Amino acid sequence: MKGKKTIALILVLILMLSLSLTGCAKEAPAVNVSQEKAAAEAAEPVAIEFWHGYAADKSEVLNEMIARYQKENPNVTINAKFVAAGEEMLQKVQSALLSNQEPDLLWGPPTWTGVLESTGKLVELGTIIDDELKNDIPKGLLEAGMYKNKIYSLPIEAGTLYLIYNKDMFKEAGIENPPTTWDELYETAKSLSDGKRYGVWLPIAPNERTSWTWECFLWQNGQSILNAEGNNIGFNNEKGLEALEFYTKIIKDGYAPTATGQDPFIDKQVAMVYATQGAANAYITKNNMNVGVAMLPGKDQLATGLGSNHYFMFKKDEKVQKETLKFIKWMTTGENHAEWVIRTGYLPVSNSGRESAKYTDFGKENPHMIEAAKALTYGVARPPIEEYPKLSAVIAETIEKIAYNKMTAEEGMKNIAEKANEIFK
Amino acid sequence: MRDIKKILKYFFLYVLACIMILPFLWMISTSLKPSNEIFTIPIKWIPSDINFRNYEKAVTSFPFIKFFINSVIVTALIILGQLATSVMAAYAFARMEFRGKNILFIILLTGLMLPVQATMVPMILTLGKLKLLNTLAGLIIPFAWSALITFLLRQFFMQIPKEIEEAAIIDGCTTFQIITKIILPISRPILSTAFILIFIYGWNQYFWPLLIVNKEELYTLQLGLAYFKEINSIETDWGALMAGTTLTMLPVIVVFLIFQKKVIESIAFSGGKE
Amino acid sequence: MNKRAYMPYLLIAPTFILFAVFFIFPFCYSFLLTFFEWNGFSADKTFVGFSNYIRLFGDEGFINALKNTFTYVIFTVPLSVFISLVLSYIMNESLKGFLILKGIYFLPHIVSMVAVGVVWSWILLPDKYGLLNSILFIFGIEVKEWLADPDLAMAALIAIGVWKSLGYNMVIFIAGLLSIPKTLYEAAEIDGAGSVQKFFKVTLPLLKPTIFFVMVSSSIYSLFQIFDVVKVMTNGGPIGKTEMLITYLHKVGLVEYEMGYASVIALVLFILTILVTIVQKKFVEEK
Repeated sequence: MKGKKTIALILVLILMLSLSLTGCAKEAPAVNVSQEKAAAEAAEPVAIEFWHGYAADKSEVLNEMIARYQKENPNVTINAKFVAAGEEMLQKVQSALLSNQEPDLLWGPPTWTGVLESTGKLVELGTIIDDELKNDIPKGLLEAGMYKNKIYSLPIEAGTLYLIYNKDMFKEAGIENPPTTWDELYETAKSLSDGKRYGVWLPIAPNERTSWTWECFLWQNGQSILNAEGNNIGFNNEKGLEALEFYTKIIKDGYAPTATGQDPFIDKQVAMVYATQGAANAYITKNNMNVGVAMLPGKDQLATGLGSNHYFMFKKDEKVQKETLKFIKWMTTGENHAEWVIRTGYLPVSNSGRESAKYTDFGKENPHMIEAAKALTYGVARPPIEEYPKLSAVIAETIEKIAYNKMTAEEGMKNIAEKANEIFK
Repeated sequence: MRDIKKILKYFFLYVLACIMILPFLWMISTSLKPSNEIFTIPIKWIPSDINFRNYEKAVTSFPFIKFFINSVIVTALIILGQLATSVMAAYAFARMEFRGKNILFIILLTGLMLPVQATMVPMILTLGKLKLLNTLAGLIIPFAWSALITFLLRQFFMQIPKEIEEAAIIDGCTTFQIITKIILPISRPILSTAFILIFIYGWNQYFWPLLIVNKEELYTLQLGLAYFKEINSIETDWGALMAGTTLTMLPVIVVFLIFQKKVIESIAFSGGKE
Repeated sequence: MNKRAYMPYLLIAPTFILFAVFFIFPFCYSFLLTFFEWNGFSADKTFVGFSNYIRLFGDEGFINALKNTFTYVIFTVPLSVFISLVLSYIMNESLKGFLILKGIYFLPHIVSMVAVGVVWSWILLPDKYGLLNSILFIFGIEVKEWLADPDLAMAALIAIGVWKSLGYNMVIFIAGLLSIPKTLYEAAEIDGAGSVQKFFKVTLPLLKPTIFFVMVSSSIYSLFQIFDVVKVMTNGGPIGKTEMLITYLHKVGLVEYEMGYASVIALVLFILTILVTIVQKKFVEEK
């Protein structure tokens, strides 16, 4: 009993101590004013709250570069913090917006644009960036940040899907070159499958990876996800159906697996996979695999999925917005941008970054990155609308049902069309 | 015959234990491995090169000690809050008669029946209005009560023989004296059990601290761990993540062992109730 | 004495005040939200009357999730409660020993979900690399695709759910078993009761409050906490065969940005939980 009393006493003391500390803590103000600098500088000190989802390795690079930026711009303090990875990050941002605690600068995928814009707090970047910056970013990437024909975000880094193949498995099967067309893909996958191992991994789980992979086939067949007006799907036609049929045919014929572990490519269950340059990097450096990379096989045209991460700006004090924009420009163009993407394994988003001396040198020594940069030029972005997650879920679930023979491809297409009508009502 | 039964029992228990411990073993194994051995099939249990690099990384990549202390403070205060409020309420529900007792208890139980996805938005709005966002108090006060623990303690308090209390009432004890001098000492087993459960709940909390806190100085250990997770799982630093997770689990295991021992000791000491 | 009259209310006040602020208010908010359409972000919410409720009836996704949840709970809860009770009873016979073993049984409750996912994926691997399949192979039973087979995935999840909850339930049962006075067992022995009779005449009746607690907490666990397991193991697949109400709710509300509709599903889950609890109360009281 005595022991318990002492513990209780200590806990009460801790309670009082922490309450006294937090009692003074108010909500974090949007702008911290750094007192020392204020006196000396003509420019007023500004602090930028920057939330991102970069894990340890990339965060280090970011913090280094921010330190340099702050040296060059002594009146600016950038408070960059890792928030969370993936879905959780959006929930965090959602909570922050609801309680007026949102950051000044936010890193995130462009798919968030729809919901972020609906808060009324998102800055329409298109109206405040200069033409120099606008022209420096390739059309496809600039469009990725557009919503309702307005630019709401700027890309900071890009990724793309391309074909990654296991060179050893190819050698065993006597195959020299990766496929470049759908027919070649089918044949190559066939010769690499032997009942235990499969030619290629075409995911069928009901998630975004499945939809995104399949959408590449859709684009390769010359179709787009949305119709011209943007108010319903644009692939309810022969070619869309063809894409559904082809994708699921490979699986049903036994050249792509239905049951997989965490990563069938690492497990050597498949010889080819549709994945990003980040994955290729990991396969090579972390898993010591002997891989080759190539552009995705095409049909009517070459196409691949464009993935990009963007910077969003929220409406704040004009001074803060001005400095934030300056930082965005610094990170997305020229030698700085080159350094950023080189060290983090992403692909460059600006012409000035890609054409800089730094990046061209880098390209010479890293062919698998250059292949990806090339593939990027054929990249198509997914629509950043609010309805996309629902549409994506319908597509993925339909593909899964077709692969499991619960529906034919025609029924699947009908199903998608019907659900799309409801979604876009 | 007796012995065979016993051996069978032990055998069965130990075999089952093997499946229980597997994920934990994988965690340890992964934390000691170089990254290219982590996702091999079949699982490579013994690393070819055991080293503590991942642990080094886990501890140095973010302010481990600071976050650890935050976790300790928050968890300790949550335990204090939940035990205090639940003991009082459980005693009232178990041993006292008052109007609306049953209805109120049932209503309290419904506190377990709404998922976090439904309470997320209103909780944040409430905390915002109460100016508790981004504060240590915001991590503690909303969780300083527990329908579950109240429920648990009530079930146990209900079983204490009435005679014990009646003697105390005749002696003129106040309610608080009855609770602290009679009920609590007898309830050591369940209180220790409650301690363990609340500790785990508080220590492992991730979702709410994520939403409530922005300032890095207030981050708890679980938030620090997420730092190793990448958006693409293939790029996640599993070795460091598992090393960090293992370190984070250690206090939980220690608390469990200590308090389970207490559960047993207190029974052995009091030799059953009377 | 007057003092005694308000004492109970004083005692429950701290809990209830916090309960009111941090549960009742969110509940009311969530209930009101069921009559609106809202993406979770926008300043505007659209009033839609009962249309979210009506939508439930035609929503295959919801009906599927409801069915799966039902199946999952019906199997997992009884299995988990029964097995943990038996194990606790066996372990309890030796009072001092088994501390480490108890700790090991408790590990699944506290270990990282990532580790659980990886290890169980390996155990359930489709070809003969999977632990389960290799064991079955030895007995001549055919190899199965546990997580990818629409008919087996649920069984696999039930097994994992039971496995994960055993330790937690045991900790509670053991505390309960230890609270039963030895003298009662001794009295029964004097009356000539064997171990089976002791169990049914002494243990079981006195354990009722504990059993009720474990049943309710297991049910709540399997309705809500199952979210993490499903997310990591099957993500609702294959073909939605393991989509539960809680994962469906999450998807609708936080991924597809339909907070209003998600609130209705949460309400259904709420009512379902109450029903389950009432059924269990009756069961425990009759037994």
